[in-house]
Amino acid sequence: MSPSIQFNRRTLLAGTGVSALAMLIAACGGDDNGMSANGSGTSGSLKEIDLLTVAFPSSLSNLYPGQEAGNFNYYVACLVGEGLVAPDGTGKLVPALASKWEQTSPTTYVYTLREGAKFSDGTPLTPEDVVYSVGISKDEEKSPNIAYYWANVDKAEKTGDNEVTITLASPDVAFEWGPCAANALWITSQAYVEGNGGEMGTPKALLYGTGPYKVTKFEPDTMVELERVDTWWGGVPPVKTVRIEFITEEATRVLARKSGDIDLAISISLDQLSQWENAADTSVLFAPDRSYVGIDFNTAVEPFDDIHVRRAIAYACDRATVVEKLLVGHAEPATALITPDQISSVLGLDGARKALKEVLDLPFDLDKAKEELALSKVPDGFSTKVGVSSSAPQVSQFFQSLAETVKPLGINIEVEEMPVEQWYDTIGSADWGLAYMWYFNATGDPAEMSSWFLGEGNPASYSNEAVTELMAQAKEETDPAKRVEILLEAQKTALADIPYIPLWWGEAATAINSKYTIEDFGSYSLLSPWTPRILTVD
Amino acid sequence: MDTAHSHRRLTQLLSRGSLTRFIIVRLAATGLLLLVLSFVVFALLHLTPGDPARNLVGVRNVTPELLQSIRDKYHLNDPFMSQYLRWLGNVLHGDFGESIRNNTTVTTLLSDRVTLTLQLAGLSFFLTVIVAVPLGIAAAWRSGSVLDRSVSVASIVGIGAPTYAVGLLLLYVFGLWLDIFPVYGSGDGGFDRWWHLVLPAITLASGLAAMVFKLTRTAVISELNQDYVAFAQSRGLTRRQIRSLVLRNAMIPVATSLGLVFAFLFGGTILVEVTFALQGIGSLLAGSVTFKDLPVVQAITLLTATVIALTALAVDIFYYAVDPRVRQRGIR
Repeated sequence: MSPSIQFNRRTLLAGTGVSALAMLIAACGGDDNGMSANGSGTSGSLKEIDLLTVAFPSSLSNLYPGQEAGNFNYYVACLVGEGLVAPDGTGKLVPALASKWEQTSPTTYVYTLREGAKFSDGTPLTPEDVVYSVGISKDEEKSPNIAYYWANVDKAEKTGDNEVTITLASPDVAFEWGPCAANALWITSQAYVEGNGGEMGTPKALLYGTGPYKVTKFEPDTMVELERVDTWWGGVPPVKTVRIEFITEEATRVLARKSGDIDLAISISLDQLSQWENAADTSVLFAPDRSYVGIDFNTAVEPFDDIHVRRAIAYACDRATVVEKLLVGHAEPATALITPDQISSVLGLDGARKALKEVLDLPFDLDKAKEELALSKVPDGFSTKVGVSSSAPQVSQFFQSLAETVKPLGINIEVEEMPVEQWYDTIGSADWGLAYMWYFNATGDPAEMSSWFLGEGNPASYSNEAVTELMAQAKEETDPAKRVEILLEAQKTALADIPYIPLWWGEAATAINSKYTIEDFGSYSLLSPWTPRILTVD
Repeated sequence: MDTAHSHRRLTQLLSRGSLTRFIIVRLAATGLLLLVLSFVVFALLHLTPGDPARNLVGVRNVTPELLQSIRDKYHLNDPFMSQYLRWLGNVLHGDFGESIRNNTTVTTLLSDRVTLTLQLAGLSFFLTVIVAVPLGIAAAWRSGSVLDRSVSVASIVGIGAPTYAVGLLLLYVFGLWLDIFPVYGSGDGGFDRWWHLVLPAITLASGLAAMVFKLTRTAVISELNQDYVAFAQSRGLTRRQIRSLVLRNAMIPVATSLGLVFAFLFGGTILVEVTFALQGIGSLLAGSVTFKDLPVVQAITLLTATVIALTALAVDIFYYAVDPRVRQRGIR
C-alpha cells in the first residue's frame, strides 16, 4: 500500500522549501576538492523539472537495501528514506533525521531528532520509529545485507521525547556510519511495516520513509517511479517525478538516450564510452566511486605463502599502463586499500593522495620481479589460476596482460572467467591462492574495507600482531585526523608484507542529457537526496 | 461419486481407445515427466558451484554466523533429498516457495512475467503464422517464380541472422531513425503494452518465420507431387478443389512445426527480453540459475515443460480433428 497523500505542485519551491533546500545544497555540494568532472565546466541553475528519466544498468528486485544491497538500491533508497545522519559532498557526516548527535562515552551515541520531521504521508516521526527501524536493520532475517553492521550494537532506546540513544557492546568509531541511509539505516514506521505483514521494499509494501520522495510505482526488475512530497524537512525538490528504468543491455541504453527516452544513465560502461560521448545532446561526467580493485593472495596457500613470490608479482603489475590503456584514463593507480575519497574530509583530496602514495609504491620493474622470484622457493616459476567475474572485463584483461608479462619468468597464470556468483566463492578460498577483490566502499569510513582486509577472517589469511594492534586502536580513536594516521600506519605495515596488491581506484561515468548537469558531481553525490543537485543548464 | 464408480468410469475411458483415453494417458505421462525433470534440475543446480547465501550478501565482510543464519532460513544445509522432498511436498500443496534473491513468493514473482512472456510469444507466433504460412503456400504454388526465389533467399538471411543483431537493427531503424516504436520496456498496459512488444515480437518471429516458410513450402510441394493430385487433375477437378485437398494434407507437418515454434517461443525469449529490457521469464531464469535461486528455477523449468507438453498435446488433438485417417485408427 502506498501512502495516500497526493501532492501536485506546479509552482517551484515555494515558501520555506527554498531556503531549506538552498541550505542543504550548500551543505552537501559545497566541496571544493576538484572532484567535479563536468569537463566543460558547465554550470546551471535550479529549475523545476517535471520528469527525470533515469536508467540503471542492472535491475532492482527489492527496494529495501537491507534485503538487496547493490549500489543502485542505495541511490533509490536515499531519496525515499533517511537515516539519522547523511554524508555531505566530501564524505563528512552531517545531520539528517537527527538534528545533532553526540558521543557521550566510547560506546554511547545520543541522537536528538529533528523537530517536525514527518513521513511522506504527514505522520510525525517518533523516537519509537527510530528504535523500531534499528531493530529491523539489526535483524539478520529481515536485513541480511546490513545486519552485520549492527552486530556490535547492544541496544537502541528512547531516552527523551526527541532523543534516541544507541549503545555499542564495544567501542567502534566506524559505527558513526551505521545510522546512515548511505549505509545501514532507513527509518520507517512500525505501523506501516506491520500493516504490510513485515514485508519491505516489495510492490505490495513499497519503501516508506521521511525523504523527499515517495514510491508511487514499483515493478520489480522493470522500473520504479518516485513522486516528490511536501513533507520533507529539506523542502520540496525541483524534480517532480523521477522514473527509473532498468536497462541491462548497454547498447539498448545508449539507444534510449539517443532517442531522448532517458535523461540520465548511471554507471555507463567504459567499453561503450565512445558511443555515449558521440550521442547527441549528451554529456558524460566522471567521478571517483570509492571502489578498490586489487590482487589478494591467500598467504596460506603455496607458493603464495612465500613473500618473494608475492613481491615478484607485485613488481610485475604495471598499474599506470593498466589505468591508461584498459581503463582509458578513467581510474587512478592505487597504492593503498583506502581510497582517497575516504580520507579527503580530513586531509583534502591532494593531501589524501600524497599520504596514500606513501603506503605502497612498488614501481613496475621486471628485473626486480626476476630477482625476487630467484630468491623464492620456486625460482623456476610455477603455474596458477585466477577466477575472474565475467562482469569485470577490465580485470580479466588485466590478468591476461599480467600473465603475458610474467610468462618469461616461468609463471603461468590461467585466467578463468565465471559468473559473478562463482567469483564470490574464490574470495579467501584455499582453492584460489591468487584472487582479486573489486570492492565498493558503501561508506566514507576509511576503515570500512581495511577492517575486513586487515582484520580477523581476512581473505588473505594474513596476520600480523602490530597490524591487529593498530586496527584495534583505530576502532577507538575518536579524533578523525589521528584515526587516519593510525589506519595509514596499519596499511603501511601490512602492505609491506604484500598480502594484497592495490591496482586501481575506480571512477564511475554517468551520461546525462546535456540540458542538465549534476552540481559538484563526486563520489558521494548519489548517496543523499540527489535530485536537488540536478541543475538545468542555462 | 463413490470410488468404485469413478474407478469403473476411468477403466471404461481407458479401454475405449478414444481421444479421452489418449488425453488422460498423455497427461499422466506429462505429470511423470515433470516429476523426473524437477528432480534432475534440482540435482543439477545443487551440484553447480556457488552458495545462495553468499550470493545474497555479495562482497561484504560478513560473519560465518550470518551466512549460516541465511542458510538455515532457506534450509540450504539440509541433506539433498530432504531439501528436494520438502520442495516437492510444498509444490503438491500449491506452494512454490519463496525466492531467495527477491524475498517474495515465487507465485508473485512469476505472475506478471508469465503474462508478458505469453504476450510476447503469442504476438510473435501470430506474426510468424500470418506471414510465413501464406508465403510458403504461394511460393510452393509458383515454385521457381520470382516470389519463390526472393522469399527463399530472404528466409536464409532470416534463419542465419542472430536474434541480438536483428533486435538492435530494428531498434536503430524503427526506434531511433524513424521513431515509430519505443526503444525499451514493456509499456503501461493495454495497447501501450502491445505497441512495446511489436519490435521484440518481429525480432523473435524473423528467424522462426523463415523456418516455418521453408517447412510450409516443402510440405505443399511434396503434396503437389503426390499421385492423387495428378488423378484429381485428370478427373477434371477445379484448381480450387485441388488446392483445398493439397492444403488439408500439407497442414499436418505445418501444424507440427507450428506447435514446436510456440513451445520454442515460450522458452526462447531471453535474448529478446534482455535486448528490449523486457522482464519476462527468460531473463528471470538466467539470473536465477547463476544465483542458484532454486525455487524460481524449478518453477520456470516446470512451467516451460508444461507449456511444451500441452502444446504437443494440442497438436495431436489437431491431427485428430483434421485427419480422418487418424480418427479412424485412433491416436496412439
